[in-house]
Amino acid sequence: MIRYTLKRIVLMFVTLFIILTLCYILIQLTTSFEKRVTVYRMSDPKLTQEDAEAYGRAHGWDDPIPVKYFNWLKGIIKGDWGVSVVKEVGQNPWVILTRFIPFTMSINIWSLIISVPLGFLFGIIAALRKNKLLDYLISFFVIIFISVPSFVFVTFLMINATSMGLPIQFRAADQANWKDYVIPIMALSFGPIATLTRYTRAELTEVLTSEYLLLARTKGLNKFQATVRHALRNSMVPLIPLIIGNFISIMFGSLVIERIYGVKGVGGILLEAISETNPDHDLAMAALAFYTIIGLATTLVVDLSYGIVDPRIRMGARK
Amino acid sequence: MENLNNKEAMEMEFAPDAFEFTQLDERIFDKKFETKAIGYFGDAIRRFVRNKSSVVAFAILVLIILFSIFAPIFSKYDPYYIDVNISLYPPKIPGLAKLGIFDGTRKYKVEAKYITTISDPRLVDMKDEEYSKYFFIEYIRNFDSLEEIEEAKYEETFDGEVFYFVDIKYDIYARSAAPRWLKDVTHAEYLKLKEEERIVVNENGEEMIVANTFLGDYYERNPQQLPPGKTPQDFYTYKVYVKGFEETPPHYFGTDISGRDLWTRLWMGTRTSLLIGLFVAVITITVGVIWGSISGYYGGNVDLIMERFTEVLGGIPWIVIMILVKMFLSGKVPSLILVGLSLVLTSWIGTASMVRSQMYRYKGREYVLASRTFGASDFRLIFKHILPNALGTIVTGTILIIPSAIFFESSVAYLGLGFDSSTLSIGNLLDAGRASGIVQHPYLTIFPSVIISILMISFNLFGNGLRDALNPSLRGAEE
Repeated sequence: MIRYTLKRIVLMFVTLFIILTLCYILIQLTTSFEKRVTVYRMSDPKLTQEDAEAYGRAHGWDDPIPVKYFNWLKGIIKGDWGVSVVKEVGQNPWVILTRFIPFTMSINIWSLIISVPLGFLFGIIAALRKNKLLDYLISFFVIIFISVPSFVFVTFLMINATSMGLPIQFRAADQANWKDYVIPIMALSFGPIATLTRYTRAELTEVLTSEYLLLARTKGLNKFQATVRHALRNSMVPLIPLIIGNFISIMFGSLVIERIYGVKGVGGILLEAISETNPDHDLAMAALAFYTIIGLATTLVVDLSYGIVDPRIRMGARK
Repeated sequence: MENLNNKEAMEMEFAPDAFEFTQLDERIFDKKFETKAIGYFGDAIRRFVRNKSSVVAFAILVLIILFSIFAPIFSKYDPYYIDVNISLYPPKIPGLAKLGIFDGTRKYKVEAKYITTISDPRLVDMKDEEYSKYFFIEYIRNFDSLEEIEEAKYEETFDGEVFYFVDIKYDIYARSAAPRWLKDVTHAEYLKLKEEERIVVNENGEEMIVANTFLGDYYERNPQQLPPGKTPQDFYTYKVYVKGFEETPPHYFGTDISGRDLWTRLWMGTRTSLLIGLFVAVITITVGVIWGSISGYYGGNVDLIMERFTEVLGGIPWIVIMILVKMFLSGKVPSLILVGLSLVLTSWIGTASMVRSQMYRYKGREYVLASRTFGASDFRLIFKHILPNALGTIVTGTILIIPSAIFFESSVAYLGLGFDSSTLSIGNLLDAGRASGIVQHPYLTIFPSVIISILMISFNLFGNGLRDALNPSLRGAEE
C-alpha cells in the first residue's frame, strides 16, 4: 500500500508539473514585455515608462520564455510566485491567494460536511421504504436536484434572502459573519445531497436483499440497526470515493456561485487576473495552480480511498 | 428362444403397414412463428415507451425545441431592437393578469405625497426629473382612489423626520401611455408630434401654449440677425399636452435593461444553447470514438502513449482549460467556436475511454477473428464489427452530453468566459440578469433559469430512459 501510495503521489506531481508547464508557456505566449510593462505602468500614474521598463527587466520579463520558465520554477520551490502587478502591486501572488483561500475553502468544505449525512439519511430512508410513497417522493426530488444547476438555486435563494433574514450579497470581509455563508453553502449542497442519495439508495437496495442481512435480522437487530451497521458498511465501497469526488464538482460549482453571490474568493481573483485589458499573469498562474492542485489532490485521494476501503482494488498497481 | 418369441410378438403387434411416412418427397421446415419478430430498435422503442417519465420528458423536449424554432419567428419583436423607453418592463401575460401574476405591474414603496392624478395642475410646469418622481393613481392596481392611499399609508422616521409611505403595484405598461405637459418643445418638434397624432386637446381646449418667446421676440426686434429661411415663430418654445406613447403591447417575459423583449431573446438563446449542445455532442462523440477506437484496437505502445495523453488532459481542471483557450484564442476565432472548442476539450475523454474499453472487450472475440481471417480491414473490423456493440452507449452518451454542454455554457457565461455579449444564449441571458440585479429584477434571471432547469431535467430523464431502453443489461441507478 505504501509503495502504491508513493507511486500515485509521484505520478500526481509529474502530472502537476506537466500541466503547470503547459499553462505557463501558453500564458507567456499570449503576452509580451511591452504589454506587461504597460499593465504595470497603469498601476501607478506617477511611474515613468523608464521606471516601468527597469522594473520589468529586474523581474526578468524580457527574458526568453525558457529562461523565464526556469527562473519561475526556481522561484516556486522557494515559494516565490512572481509579482502581482494589478491586484496588489509588488506582492507575491501566493500571499495574496492565501488571504482569499479561506473563504473559498470554508464554503466548499462546509457544503461537503452538510451534504454527506443528509445524502446518507435520505438514501437510507428511500432504500428502506423502497417503492413506497416516501421513496417516490425522494426519487422525484433527487431527479430535480441532480439536474438543476447550482446557480439556479443560488438565484432563487438570493431572491428570497430578505424574507429569510439573510444578506442578499456576500458582505465585505470585515462585516461578514456566518449568515453570509448560508446561501452559497445551501446552493452548493443540493446537488451533492441528491447524488449521494441516489447512489446510497442504489447500493443499499442491492445489499438489503443479501443473506447476511437476513442473518443480522435473525439475530434480533431491527431493520434500522441492521441497515446502518451491516448494509451501509458494505455499500460504502463505491460511496466514499463518490463523496470525495463530489468535492471537485462542488469546488468548480463554487466558482460560479462565488461570482453570483459576490463572495471574495479565489475564483474572483482568478477571473480578475485573466482580464483582457489588464491581466495579472503571475497571479493568474498561482490561482490556476491552486485549482489544479485541488483537482489533482482530490483525484489522488479518490484513487487511494478505493484501495483503503476495498483492498481488492488497487488502481494502477501491479497485479 | 424367448427372444425370438418376443420378436415375433412385436412383429405381430406392430405390423409395418400400420405406419405411414409423414413425408417422403417434400421437405419439412420449422413452423413459422405466428408472433412478429421484434428487432433491436423495435424492442428499444417498446421499452422506452413503457417508461412514462422519459416519454413525458421527451414530449417536453420536443415542445421546447419547437418553441425555440418558432417562437422567435412568430414574435412581433426583434430580439436585438433597443428601445430604452421600455427598459426593464415587468412580464405581462394577458390571460394571467386576472390571477395577479404577470400583470405588468411593479411593486414600489413610495412616499404618499408623490401619488397624484394625471390631471393634477401642479404637473404642468414641472421639470422632467421632478415629474418622474410622481405616481398616478390611475395606474395603481391595488388602490382605487387617493382616499384609500391616505388610509393605507404608514409612517417611518429617518433622522427625526417623518415620512409617509405606501406600497403600491404600479402598472408600467399603462403608465407608458400617460398624457402629460411637455415643456420646451420647439416648433419643429411640435409639428412632428402633431403629425404623429400624439397631441391631445386638454380640458381647456388648448393643445399647445407658447412657453417661451424670448428668442423669437429678439429676432422680431432685430430682423437683420434672423438666419435666412426662418421666421421668429421658429424660435418660440412651446408647452404641449402629449398623449405619451401608445400603451406598450405586452411583453410575455418583460424586457431587459435595453428594452429588448425577453420572450424572443430567451427562445433565441435556447436555440443557440441547444445548437451548441448538439455541436459539442457530435464533435465529442466523433473525436472520442476515433481516439478510443485507435487506442483500444491497436493496444500496445500506441495505447500507452494515447492513454498518458488523455490522463494528463483529464487531470487539468476544466476551468484551467477554459481560461487557457480563452487567453490563447480570444479575438482570433469566433466566440462560438472558442466556447465549443473548450467544451469539447473537456468532454471527449469520457467517450474515448468508454469506446476503448469496448474495443478491448470485443477485439479478441471469435467472430472478429473469423472476419479478420477472411481479410477484413482494420477499419471494417472497428466500425462494422466492434463499434455497433457500443451503439446504445454512444447514443445515450450523445444525448447526455447535450445538457452538460448547455450547463457548462451557462457556467462559463457567468464567469465572463463565454460567448461575446452579442450572441444570445441562455448563459448570456443569465449573466445579463445577474448584472441587472437578481434581487431588483428577478424575472430577468428566473425565466432563463426555469428554461435551463426544465431542459436539464428533461434531457437527463430522456437520456436515462434511452439508456435503459438501449442497454437492457445496464440498469439505471434509480431503477
